[in-house]
This record gives sequence, C-alpha cells and structure tokens, in this order.
Amino acid sequence: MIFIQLLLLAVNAIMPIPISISQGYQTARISRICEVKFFSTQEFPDHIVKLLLHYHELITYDEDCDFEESIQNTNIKIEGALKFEISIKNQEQLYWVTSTNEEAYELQIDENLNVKIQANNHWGLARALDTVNQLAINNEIQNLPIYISDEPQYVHRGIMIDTARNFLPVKLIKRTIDALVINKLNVLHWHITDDESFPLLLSKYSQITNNSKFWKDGFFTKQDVQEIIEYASIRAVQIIPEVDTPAHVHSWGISPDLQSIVITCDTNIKQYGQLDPTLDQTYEVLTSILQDIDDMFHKVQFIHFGGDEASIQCFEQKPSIKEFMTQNGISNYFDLQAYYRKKQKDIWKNQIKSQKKIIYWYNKKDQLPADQDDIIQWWGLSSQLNEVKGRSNQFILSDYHPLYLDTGVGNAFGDRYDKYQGWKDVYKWNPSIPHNFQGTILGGESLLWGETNNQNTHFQKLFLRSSILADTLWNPDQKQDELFPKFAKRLSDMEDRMNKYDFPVSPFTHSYCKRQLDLCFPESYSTKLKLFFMFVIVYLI
Amino acid sequence: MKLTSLLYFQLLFLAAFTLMPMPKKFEKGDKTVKILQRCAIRFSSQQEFPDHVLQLLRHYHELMTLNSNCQFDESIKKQNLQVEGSLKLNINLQSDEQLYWVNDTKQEAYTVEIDEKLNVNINAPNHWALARAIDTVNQLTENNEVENLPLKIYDEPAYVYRGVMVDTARHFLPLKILERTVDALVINKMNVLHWHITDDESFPLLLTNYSQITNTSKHWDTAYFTKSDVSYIIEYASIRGVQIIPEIDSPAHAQSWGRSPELAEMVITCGSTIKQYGQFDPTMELTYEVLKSVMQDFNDMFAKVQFIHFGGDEASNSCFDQRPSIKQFMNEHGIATYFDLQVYYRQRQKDIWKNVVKSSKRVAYWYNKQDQLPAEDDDIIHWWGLTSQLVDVKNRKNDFILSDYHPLYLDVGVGNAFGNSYDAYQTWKDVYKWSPVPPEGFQGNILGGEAPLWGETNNQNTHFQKMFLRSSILGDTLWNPNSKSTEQFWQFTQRLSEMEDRMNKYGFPVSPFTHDYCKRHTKLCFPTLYQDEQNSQDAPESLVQEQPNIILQSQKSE
Repeated sequence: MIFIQLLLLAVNAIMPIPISISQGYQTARISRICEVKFFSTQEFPDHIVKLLLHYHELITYDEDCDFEESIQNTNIKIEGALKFEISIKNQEQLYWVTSTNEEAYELQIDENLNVKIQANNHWGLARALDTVNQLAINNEIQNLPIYISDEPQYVHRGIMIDTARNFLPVKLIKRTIDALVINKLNVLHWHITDDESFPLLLSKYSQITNNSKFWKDGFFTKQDVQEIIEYASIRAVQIIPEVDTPAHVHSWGISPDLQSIVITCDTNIKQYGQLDPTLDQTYEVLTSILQDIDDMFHKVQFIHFGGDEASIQCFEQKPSIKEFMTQNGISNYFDLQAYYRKKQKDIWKNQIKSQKKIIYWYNKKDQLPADQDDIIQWWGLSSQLNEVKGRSNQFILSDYHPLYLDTGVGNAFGDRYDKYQGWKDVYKWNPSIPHNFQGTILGGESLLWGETNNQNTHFQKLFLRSSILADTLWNPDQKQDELFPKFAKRLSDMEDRMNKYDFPVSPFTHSYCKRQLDLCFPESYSTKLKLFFMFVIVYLI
Repeated sequence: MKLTSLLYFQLLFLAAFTLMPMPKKFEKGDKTVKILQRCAIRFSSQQEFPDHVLQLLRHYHELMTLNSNCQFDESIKKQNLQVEGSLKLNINLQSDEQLYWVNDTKQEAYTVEIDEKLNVNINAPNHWALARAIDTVNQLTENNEVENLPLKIYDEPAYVYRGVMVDTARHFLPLKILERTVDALVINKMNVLHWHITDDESFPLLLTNYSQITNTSKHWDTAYFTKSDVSYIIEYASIRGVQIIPEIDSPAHAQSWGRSPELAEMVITCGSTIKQYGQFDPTMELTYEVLKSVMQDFNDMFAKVQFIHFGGDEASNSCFDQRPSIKQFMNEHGIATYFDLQVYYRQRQKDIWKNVVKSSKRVAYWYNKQDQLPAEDDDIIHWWGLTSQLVDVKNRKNDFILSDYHPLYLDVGVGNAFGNSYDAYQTWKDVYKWSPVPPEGFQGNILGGEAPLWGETNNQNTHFQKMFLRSSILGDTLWNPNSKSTEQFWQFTQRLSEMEDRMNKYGFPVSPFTHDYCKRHTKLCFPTLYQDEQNSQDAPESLVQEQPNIILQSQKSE
C-alpha cells in the first residue's frame, strides 16, 4: 500500500508536493483550453475575479482565450475543458494570513475534468489554482480521479529584495510577485531604503528621496506602493516594508538641513551613515517618516525596522554623543541603541498609534532587547539559535548560509565576498531548531541584497534557489521520503515552468543532466544513509 | 614645476575623454559641438561601398541612431552634403576585400579625425579597422555631442586575438544568441568568437554521413546547427570584424559521438560515478573512419575560417584502462604509454586533416601545465594554465592564446552541473588585475587572450550576465594594456560604468559591476585598486609621489 502511494507520488512532479494525494490511473486530455470555466454558487468578488484572471492567463498561456467567457453563472459541462467549481468560505480580501490553515485547500478532479476547489479564502484558492496549473501540464491531467488535501507547514515563506543599492522598477516588483505565486511563496520583504538611497517619496522630507535617488524617476510614490500591495494581495502575497535604522541611513543626511542627524562613518569609503540618536531632530524626522510609512503601508501586517549593524566606531566619531550619554546616564553604546530603539517604538505605538508588529534583524552577536510581540528575523545560522533559545518571540529564518542569494560573486567593489550558495546547499537546509528553543518559527526568507543585483540578474539570482526554499517551507517532510532524482525532476519541471512564463532563471544543471536525472542525481545523502541503516537493521534481525 | 602642471591638465582631459578600450594615441582640442540632427548622419566615400561594408555601416547606423527611426538609405547618399549639426563620416578604405580574420594588429589600425563641423574622417586599411573606427566614433558621440574638438585619434590594438569562448554542447545556444554575442563583442572591439561546438553532452552540428551523432545527442528537436546556420554566423561575424574559431574536441569529451548502436564501440564510456564522459578508442579503425568524415564536414562548413580548434584536453588514463583491447593494441604496435597513445591519435588526426581532408587551416590545441603532448611549430597552443606557468613551456615557439583559468574562466564559482560548489568566482577586479605578461625567456608568441564561458550552468538566461562586463575588461586589456598604468583606478571604473550603460542601452543584460551609488561616485568608491592602499593619507610620501612618475614614463613612451 505504501509502495503504491510512493509510485503514484512520483508521477505528480508538483513543486511543492501537496501533503496528501490520492489518485487513480486515468488520463484526460484538455482538448478545449479556451473553454475553461470558473463557476461558483456565489458571485465572485473583484479580487477573486482578478486572481482568476491571473491564473486564466497562466493556464491558457499562448492561446489568446477570452477571460470573460470563462466566468459563468451556470455550471456548463463542456467535454475536454477544465471546469472549476469554486467554493470559498470567506470572500473577504486578505492582505496576509496568520495561520497555515488559511492557505489550506481541498481539490478534486474527476475524469471529466470537473475541478472542485474548496478553500477558506482567496489565498487558499490561489494555492489550489496553482496546483491545478501544475497538474495540467502538456494539456492533459494524469492520475484521475485525483483528490488533494493540502496545507503548508510554515505560514511565512518569502524572499527579500533590496531597492536601495540598485533601484528596481515597479514592473519588476510585480513580476517578482508573479514568480512567488507559482512557487506558492507568500511573502515579499521589501528592503526599501539603505545608505545608498531612499527611493520612497516622503511627504514632509521629500528632500531625502530627491537627494538620494539614482535618477529622476528612480523612486516609488504612495500610489506605486498601494498598487504593489494590492497586486500582491490579489495573488496572495504579503508585502513587508523595511526602513532600516539607526544604521544604513547615509541617504537620509545628504541635504544640508538634515546633515547633522546622520554621522558619516569614517570608513575608507564614505558611504555608510548612522543616525545620531541624541538629537531631537533625529526623532522629528523619524516621526514624520514612520508616519508616512504607516500611511502608505496601511494595509500590511508587519513593519520591519531593520536595526542591524550599528557600529560603535561610528558613534565614537561624534564627541557630543558621549557627552549626551553621560548627562542622561546611558553607560555604553549598547544602551544607546536600546535607548534609540525604545524611542522609535514609542513613536510607533504611542504617537502614530500603529498596531503593526515590528520585525528586527538579529544574529548571534545581538543582545538588543525585543518586546514579546516583536518578530526576530534571524540572519545567523539556525544552529546558532541556541544563543537566543530563551527568547519566546516569533522567528523568521534567513540563515546567511545558504539563504543569502547575493554572496559569492564579488561585492560592490569587485572584491571577493563570501561563498556562493549552490542550489544543493539550499536543498540541504531545513528549519531545524535547537532543543528547548522557546520561540516560534514562522518560516523563512531568502535574501537578495542589492549591491551587485539589478534587473538584469534579479530572477537569475532569486530562482531556482528560492523555489527550493519554498518546497522546504511548504512540505519539509517530502525530502525524507523522496529519492533525489525525483526531487531533481520536480526542480527541472519548475525550471521549465518558470522559463515558459518568461522568468530568466539560472539553470540548475545542463541540458544533458536535465534529461538524465537518474544518472546525474542518483541519490541524496540522506537516502544513502537511510538505505545503509535499513541494511544494518535487516542484517541485525 | 611646469611639467607637473602640464601633467595635471593631461589628467583632467583624460577624465573627460573616456573610451573603452582607450585608443593608443590622441590629440584634442577644447570645443564641444552638439549633434542636433541624428538622422542626418552621412556615410560617404570616394569609391562605392561594397556590400559587406554597407552591412557594417547599417549595423552601426542602427546603434548610432537607436530609437530615432532614421533611414539608413538616406545616410549613404552619394553627394557629400554638409548638413550642420549632423555627423558626416568620410571613409577612406585601402582595401575593399571582405576579411574573415586578421593576422596582424596593423590590419585593425585606424585614424579618426573629427573637426568642429562634425566632419569625421576615417582612414582604415579594411572593413575590420573601419568597424573599430566607427565604434570609437559611436562611443564619442553617444551623448548627442562631441567633446574635445578638433580631435585626432591614431589607434591600433596591442594584441591581434581578443575573444570569448561559448559552449553550445552543455546547453544549446540558439543562433540568435550567437549573433547577439557577436554584436556584444563588436562594441567592445573584440574580434574572436571561439565556438566550442561539441562535447560529451551533445553534438549540435548536423553532420552529413553521421547525422545520427547529431540526432541521438541533440537536447531537443531543433537544437542543432545546420550548414547554413554556420555559413550565416561566419558571414555575420566577418561583416562586423569578428572571426569564428570552431572547436570539435577529441579524443576526450566525446561521449555524444557514441550514442547510436553502430557507433557505440568507438567511444569508451568512462567509469565515473556519472556515466556521462566518453573518450575515443584510438585503436579502432572505425574511430578514424568517423573522424575523417566529421573532419571533412567540418572543413566544408567552416571553409572560411582561419583556425580550427581540435581540443585535445583531458583524456584520462583510467578511461583507457577500462578497455583491455587497448593495452593489447599498444603492445602489438610498440606504443609504450597512454601518453604515446594520445600522440598516436593526434598524429593520425593531423594526418587526416592535412593529407586526406587536405585542409591548410592551422590547428589549435588546449594545453595546460601538465600537458607534454607534441605540437608542431605552426600549431597554436591555447593555454588554460596560468600565465605564470608558461615557464613550463617556455621553449615552445608556437603562437599562444591565453585563457588563464583564473581569472578568465567566466563560469566558475557558482556551482557545477550537480549543484556542488565548484572553484571560486572570478570578479571583474580579478580580470582587471590580469595582464598577458609572459615569463622571462619565453620563446612563444602571444597572440592575445580569450575568456571561456563553459556551458554547464550557463544558458541564454545567464549568458550576457556571465560574459560581461568581465569580457569588456579583457577587451580593454588586450587592446591597450598601457591605459591601466596611465589612469587612476576610478577613471577606469568610470569607463567601465559607461560601458555598462552602453551595453544596457543596446539590450545586453550584463551583470552590474557595482551598485548605483558607487556608479555615481566612482572617485569615492574606487580611489585605488587595492583596499589596503585606500588610506592614502597614511601612505609614505614616496608612495604618493610614485603616481606622476608612472604618467611621465608612459608619456615618454608615446
């Protein structure tokens, strides 16, 4: 029985693999692609119509079919066409989800290509549609009748992009969302600003934007932001905006009137800046910016405050800071950062009165305080979580190895910078947590820092490595049972799919190995070990 | 004192005069003239332009009038109209002959003179040099104005061979990508596309007698090149001043030859964990029968190219070991070692080439430090060891092409075909630091260099990203290795930055060499080459004073 289940699983090269599938052995051809129908007993609200339109485009790719025709009030039975019957419990438009069962769905396809989808909301629907799109490869569906019940393991499955080092246009961000959706990823963490630029148009301090943008229209407006949030929400992706402080802020202080709030760190390259946390003006500017962020990103769940890599050396450059610390009983620079963080939080909670939870960067060196409901984004290794195992916060994992997608190809100065993380490194990674860990793992994110990335290299660096992360975060158990060549097959299909939809991803192997997966990817290390142990056990018996 | 201030001016001028690569010599004025009428550009000559020159002009006309929708036919009207505010190129070619290669740097030498009325006089020996001259004009005129007028440029490359290698066996690259690669080379004044056509993984060139080799190994239905594809790309390249060097690698890297049952025997499948590598059995007559036919096809299809690349790398002893009949053959024929067996193969291959196929094309082979295989005097050694290791072959008098695996391998450092980590990525700065300086006592002749882009993890999605801007830097070094010593590092990055913009403008998705902030602050971000030298205020005085001396020397040498 188990054996049969395994065999059947192998046929469906879905990525990520659903947690439960039962299936028959019939194949039905989709002979009338344009006749695809979406039916529901209720009227589809606008955001669902848009989601359906998006997947209609993917499913009827290249065929120039009319979407209007496919939305029907009556359930017409056309042979050889996909007929979706969609049942959604909650019609509300969501901008994020907080539990994995919100993305759960049930899917049934019979031999007549009747596709029944049951989902809690449009996010669950998006995942179900994606599964159908993957199953309907080559204009046929195999293993009918098929029944799938699916739910992700982790609620936070994302990537980070950086628009401060190289500007990325709105169009590219939208395409990034499109790419996430076909990988069932649901988070786009947007590192908007940094030392190099502040490409978000502020209302009161627009000089920050204007003095640091790279070219005339190299910035985002409030309208751009709302368009992106809406675009993402329809496709079941949440946006997490980040405005990093108190370090990474050289771009804030370029205009003469704001120069004093930023300390230019005396590194070789005078490019790094840090806020002076002792000046009232700093908090004045900060309040206005945070107010803008809260206004523009009103619909998002979290705000990312950064908070990483403030350097003591940089604070030391300004003697007035030491003076202030003495006067205010702040004994060291660590406490100075805690002081800043407290004031920033106070502005956020009490002045702006925002309810949004806050995310901070942390790695093993960080001992900075975090409130109970703050979220810790961990860019150390998962194995180093030991050092914070007493913290009962929620965690997002972004192990710098292997989840940094920018490393290994030189830094902004053309010098060597860390090691490239191969797709197999990402495959080997699991969100494992140490014993006695008190926190909650929400999920993970791969990070594409922008120093040497622009739109020419964007999808090449993001994928297929992020596809593998998505696979792990949706269904980490799959790797345990699956032979390595089967995984490679799913990856290979994902590569073809992404190319078909025009995402220029990096190839994971060459064309020969792609057609000879059993030969080139014989078995995984874990399987080898497992087989060895099975052998030992048999021997002992 | 006087001298110092003079040097200072020179430096300032250099900053405003940024070409990539930098021309060998120039004289310039201080006037700037706007190009008000892009479309009114004219190409004129005393003689009629032959077709290949017309096509070259059409190519550059497209680049120079990008997005302006100008009529090319209008620009070659006979009468030399003096339209104000438009570029008027007056072209004087010594030879109208169409060239498929050059073998002397003088063949690409040219002069360009531009006056305040935008009259552009070009003198060139042939259409290859014309291509270089027009490229210079294109670079000088891209911001709709020409600075430093009147301007005189005398230019000639330092090395005759300046190229990249593409690999169509691991991933198939469509003809269109090869065309675009030629286009990319031309705006970098590079002139060689070495085409590694076949390998273990596939043989994507349609053969006449043994088409089963192609058909059983191609990656998909249409993933191969026909004879007409080959003729087309050779012609396309020739018009633009690029030569094609085709490579069919043997006796190793040949698994793809043996996929059909009737040819299975001639290839030994090497017993590696992944049964993907194959090597000829050099003891079988079938091997030479097939080789002969393939070589004949090769010579027919590539009749117009200058060199042929026979590969010849990485034959493994353990692979030969797998077939006992080989040892037996060796005993019977007095072949003592596998090394001698390779020599035997190489001799027979050469004999087929020279005496059966009767080709007069010279042959290039891969070599690195371990190789002691023989090469005849007129063979070309393609060196993939480090230049410093040329010591090992310093008595060979051959022509050499340099492809140091560090830093010229463009594929390394981002994992291999199996997703495992593979070597270290070579950054653009690594390529910048490289120069083709052979060791003392070296007897060979350096033709130039080439950056290989092996195809295991490269397809059209990553092609231009991996190739450029690193190959642009190689192009810069091979054209004018002296410019590095006469300019500041930030001035180089300024030129590089402009090349990046240019390549993006023409639709080549190259990897950015830095972020947008440093691109706008090259002086800040790239003050000197080495990071540890950056605290120049701490540097001893002697070091600070060294800079002008370098400039002084190079000025003398001009």
